[in-house]
Amino acid sequence: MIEATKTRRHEGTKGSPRTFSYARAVAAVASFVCVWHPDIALAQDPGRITVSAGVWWMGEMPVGSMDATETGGVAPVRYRLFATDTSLAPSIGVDTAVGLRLSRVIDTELSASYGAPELRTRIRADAEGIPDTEAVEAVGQLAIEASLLVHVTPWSLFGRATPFVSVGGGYLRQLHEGRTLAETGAIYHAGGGVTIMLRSGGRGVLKGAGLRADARAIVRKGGVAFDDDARVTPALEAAWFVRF
Amino acid sequence: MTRSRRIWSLVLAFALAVAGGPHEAFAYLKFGVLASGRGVTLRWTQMPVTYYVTDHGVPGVGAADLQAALGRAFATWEALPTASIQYRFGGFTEALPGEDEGLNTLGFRSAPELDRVLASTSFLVDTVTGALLESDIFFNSAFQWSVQSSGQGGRFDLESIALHEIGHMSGLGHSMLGETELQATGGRRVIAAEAVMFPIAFSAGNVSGRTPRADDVAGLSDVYPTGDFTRDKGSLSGRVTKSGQGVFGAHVVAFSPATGLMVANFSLDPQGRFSIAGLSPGPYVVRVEPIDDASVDSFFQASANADVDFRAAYFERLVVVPAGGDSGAIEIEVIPK
Repeated sequence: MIEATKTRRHEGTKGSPRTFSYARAVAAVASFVCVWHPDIALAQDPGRITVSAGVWWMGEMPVGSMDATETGGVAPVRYRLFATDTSLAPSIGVDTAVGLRLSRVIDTELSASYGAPELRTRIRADAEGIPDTEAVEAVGQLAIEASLLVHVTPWSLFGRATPFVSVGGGYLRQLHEGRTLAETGAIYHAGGGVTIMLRSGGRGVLKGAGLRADARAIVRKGGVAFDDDARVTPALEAAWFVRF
Repeated sequence: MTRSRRIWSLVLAFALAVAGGPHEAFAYLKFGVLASGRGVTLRWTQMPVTYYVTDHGVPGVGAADLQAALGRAFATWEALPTASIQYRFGGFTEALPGEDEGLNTLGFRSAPELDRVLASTSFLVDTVTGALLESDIFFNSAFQWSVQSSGQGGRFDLESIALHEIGHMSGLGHSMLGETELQATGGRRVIAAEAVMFPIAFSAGNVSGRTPRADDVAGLSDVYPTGDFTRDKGSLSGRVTKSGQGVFGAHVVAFSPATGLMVANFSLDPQGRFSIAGLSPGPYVVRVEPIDDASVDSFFQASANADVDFRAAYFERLVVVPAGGDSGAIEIEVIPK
């Protein structure tokens, strides 16, 4: 692996500047990985604590559609003044988590995430001809979740890249613009990803460090939604973690 | 010393009524008077409000039928959980509505000259405190009336019209949450309405006006709030401006995309300021339009000079209303037609 990287670096010197930069980055990561003796088993011992921080992206979540109607002169006809469709726009946010390794394949984790998706109401079909438009507000979203991660060690690549599946759920708090009104609800997720140990072992407190990427199906219930239906949203996350 | 003045509100015609009489500082949602240069909301200060019913009916509606229909209409307002007003039937009377005999009298009166006025409410008010002293309602016996539970073709539903008039009697002005179309005869036909307090009635036989809408509930609760109303509901306020100047008389509608309910008000001063009370907490779509579904004097006295020269528009933000508080002032810029 190291040799291959060296080769790429060598080739990179003859290539374009872009190729050169890429090769240097790969070489840097590789050399970082090898600073410590590989002792992944030690880093994966039960009782180890993992701390992570990362960024996430969450997809659009339809919140509800509602028409502004009036009682028609001929019952039971309703007269539509205009129509609205409301959704939480796609957003990015930050996340931090503390995990405890229960066994060589199972982690529990407590995480907190924050983002500020826009609540967007599309207004259309105005009876008096006002052009379609959109009204928006920024919503501050805080989620505190507990998760269970199961590492699929048989599929581990080079002993460093290990897939995992995760499920979890917790508390959702969404704060409307102006911070005068908060809505609460529940948030659940199920998904999977991969952890990549970049450093492991060592005699100090730090027993490992790496990257983690996962994809999730997020289920939100309550909060700014207009009803109590559960709504599913895709989400992606990338995080840096250290293990003690 | 109490200064009092009788104010007539010629309201609820099946076609547009050209209001006559001494209008005073009419304002939507709540009636008001100017006292020492400041606006004072008209309201009853002593509960229950005792009313009397004239002891004669009209063909198809006897005095007992009249009293029963009025009783149902009073009970409907009284049942609103967020309003604290109470009414009491005092008995039948020989007095006629409109006489200053110290009784709140409701009954039929023939007024064929008011050929577009179904009913009308008058007030005797203390112009210093805004306290209502007496209020009478007459139903124009020049029209045909019905008290049948499902309505009767060709006859106006007494309970529906009474609900509107009792709204006035309690201090509510007109709402503009409704759509109309001009007729060849010069009047207007109601296409739809989402407030009992819309100034033009549904056609004869229609009983849709027996149920207060969100706008009506907000209005009465704002005048006679319960503790729950004050704690649980919020308001949305701001200014409507055009070319940097305030717009008087703009109709501002707050629509909840969560519940589908609408509550509205007008900008009520030269700075274009408005306030919409009685809103459930949450985000609101705000729509502004000029008065276009009834005559301006259904809402304001003619000298008020309401501005109708601007295009309807939406505010570009969702406005968040908190429980027990106000959204914080927003500014909605409109453009001339």
